Amino acid sequence: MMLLLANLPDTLWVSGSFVKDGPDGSVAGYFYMHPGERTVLNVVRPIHQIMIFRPDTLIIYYPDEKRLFYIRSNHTLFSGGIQSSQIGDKNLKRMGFMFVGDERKGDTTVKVYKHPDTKIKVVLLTLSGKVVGFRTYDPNGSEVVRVDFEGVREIYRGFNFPSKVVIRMKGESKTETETFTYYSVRVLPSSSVPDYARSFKPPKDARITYKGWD
Amino acid sequence: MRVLALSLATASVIAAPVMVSAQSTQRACVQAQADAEHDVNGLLWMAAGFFFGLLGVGAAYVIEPTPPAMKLMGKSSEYVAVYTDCYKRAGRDIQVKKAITGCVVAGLLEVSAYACCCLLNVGALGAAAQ
Repeated sequence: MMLLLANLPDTLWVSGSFVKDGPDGSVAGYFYMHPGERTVLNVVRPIHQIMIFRPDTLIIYYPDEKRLFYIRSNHTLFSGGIQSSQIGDKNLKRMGFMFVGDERKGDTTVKVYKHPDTKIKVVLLTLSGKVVGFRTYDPNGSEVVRVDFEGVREIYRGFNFPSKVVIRMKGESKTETETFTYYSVRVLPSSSVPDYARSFKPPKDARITYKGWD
Repeated sequence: MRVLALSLATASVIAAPVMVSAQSTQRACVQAQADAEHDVNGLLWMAAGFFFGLLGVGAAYVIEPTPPAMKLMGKSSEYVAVYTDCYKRAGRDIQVKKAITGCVVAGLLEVSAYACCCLLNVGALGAAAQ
């Protein structure tokens, strides 16, 4: 996913609200993204929870209980806008993927990349120069992940953002689908971003649990 | 009789949330185990055990799998606490089990190769003695 992301100037953030629908139900809240650096989710439904994604740590804070978790994690969230197909192409090649070929399917251009060592195949779908989805296939040719970006629009110079992301992950026995719908997405200067998102400082009386440092 | 009924009613009122909480945390652990089974690359750890032997098994024990953040979104603090512990434990168990399997397979191959060599040598010595 990171391969397809674009960056904003350092002083700008992206903000909006989101609804995530998945097998576990619906989750809603607000998000603040400093692309490539940090993503903060303020979940308001079904529970009040602040999630801060940093490169090596996931911080989860429950303001109502003043409970805090530091979880060692290398997981990255969808934390940026979507690049143009040219930049996506360049980044895929930089990661060792080789361009295999492309074809037109209606109004969509389908570009196929393959990694010579891992044999993983990535198929990039572009429309008018914007990436609108991608598929990854395992070495046996089975589709593993299918991601579709819907309603992609430019919110800053060259910085595109979708109004909906549909992620389908195929497991051995079942396929799980998660849908993120974004509302009121806009670019903000750092000064308009809440303090907890810019630099989170836990309250002194918070109950802290470390996971992964034990 | 009234005391018994009242006691049961009180117990059910008190116990109900506890039971709900217990069910929720149990669900978190079951979900964590299922997710760990899905996420951990068993083949990779088997290869680590096969090629690096006890070092691979040690690495499988030391390197903790990281729980997927998306699975913790919108969940209670109790759920997060139980899920992360169960995920790491289940993930580590799978890693170690696979690495040990790889290590044992490599060991068996080595032993059988050694036994074959010995048998060939014995056969050769027997033939030379005749």
